Amino acid sequence: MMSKIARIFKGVLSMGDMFCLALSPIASVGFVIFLIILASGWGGHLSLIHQYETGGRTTTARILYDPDPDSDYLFLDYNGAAGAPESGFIRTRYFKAETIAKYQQGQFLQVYYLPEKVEHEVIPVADFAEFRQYRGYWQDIWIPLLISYVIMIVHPEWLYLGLLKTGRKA
Amino acid sequence: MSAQAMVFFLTGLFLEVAWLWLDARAHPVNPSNPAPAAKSPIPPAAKLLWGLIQQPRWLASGVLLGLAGAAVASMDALGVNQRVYIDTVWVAVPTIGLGVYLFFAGMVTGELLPRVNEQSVLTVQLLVMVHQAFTGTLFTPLTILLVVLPAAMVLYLTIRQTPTPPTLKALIYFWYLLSLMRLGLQADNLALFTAWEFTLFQGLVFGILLVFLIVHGLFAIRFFLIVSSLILPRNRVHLSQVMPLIYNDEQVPPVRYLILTGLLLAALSVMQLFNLPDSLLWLDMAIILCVQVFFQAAPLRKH
Repeated sequence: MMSKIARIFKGVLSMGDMFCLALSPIASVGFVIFLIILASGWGGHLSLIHQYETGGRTTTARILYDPDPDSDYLFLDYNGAAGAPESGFIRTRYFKAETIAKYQQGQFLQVYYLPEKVEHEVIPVADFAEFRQYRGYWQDIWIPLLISYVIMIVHPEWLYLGLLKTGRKA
Repeated sequence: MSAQAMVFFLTGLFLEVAWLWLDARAHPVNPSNPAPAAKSPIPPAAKLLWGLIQQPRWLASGVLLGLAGAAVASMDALGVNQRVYIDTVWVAVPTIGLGVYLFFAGMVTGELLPRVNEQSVLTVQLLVMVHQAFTGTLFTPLTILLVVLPAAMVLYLTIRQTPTPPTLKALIYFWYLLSLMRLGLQADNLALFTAWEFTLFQGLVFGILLVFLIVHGLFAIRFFLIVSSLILPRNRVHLSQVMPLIYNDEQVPPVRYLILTGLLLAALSVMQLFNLPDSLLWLDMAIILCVQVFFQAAPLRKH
């Protein structure tokens, strides 16, 4: 009984090994691409934080509609540069659901905005710390990144391409 | 940036690729049967200087910089005064083509990767340490982990002068790649990516640095995966064949090493002390020259 289980286990491992071997070429390129996407998301977010910290201005905004849990945006009006009225939005993905849920239609709040930016995105002053701690750019990437990583650990032969001779005589 | 600075930026890109390509095709050495040194009346310092000057990289540099200079002079004569961006056609096409080539060269081959030895690794880390000391970040956890500790280990290995096991070499080399990435992520270097204005020199060095970092960054990712795979014993067999291709055991003579390293460290310290402009760019160039010129390890025939 035990030997039968061991044989089945070995068979499963062997199939997994062949699966990793077959996918290793794609996984090597995929790992780099996923890493670049992750770095790009991280860098973009750091850059945005820096822009708000160095060039952001504070103004008063009024929320136009009650928050919709399914919507990516919370729309509002605010006074932009030189007091000109602007329509803008808060990107809800930066914040927890309960943070967005506390806002109501007609509510006034202090926000940061970037005068030079074409998109009229704003960040609530009271929730800026939560915006800074946003790590959502990981969400869709870490699983394929991890899978690629594991595949390359099991079968790294593709990584040695171009570094090892093929075995033909010179 | 201005069209003139962009010309020098593109020149920097192609210059560094040319250097790496020429280095990869330099006369290979076979360490098991080195040619006996012939006696010569020429002083060693003069031979060293002549050896450095003779390298084909300087001819390539002269040609590319000459072309760039002529292009910029023509632009100035014609009164060209426009800003160009990375998506301008004459910028985007060569940049994308070069990017694709670098991606495949970094991920699928090793042909553009400079070969290093303990001395070049140690010098790079010493240069980074001096820079970090002047910027007050020498004793941050990241610097200690990525630069100070590996430098201490490599110093010990350099003094010990005995062969280093492949696994330890792999670890040191990976640490070296990480310290290069750490240098690339310095605030002043990162600022180059968002800078609005560039001088010709800044454009040139930025182009050279970008290619250097891309090649080493891609190989750092690849090498991270290689090092991770060493968890499984069956994956360790290839490492002893690969490490000689990227990590050379041969050392330059100690006097030459000490003089060159001392000069570089002194020059860097003077620049930092007197707050000379573009000191980080000069540090970047010093590191590139260390790896590719002063302590260059000739390529080995592949196994």
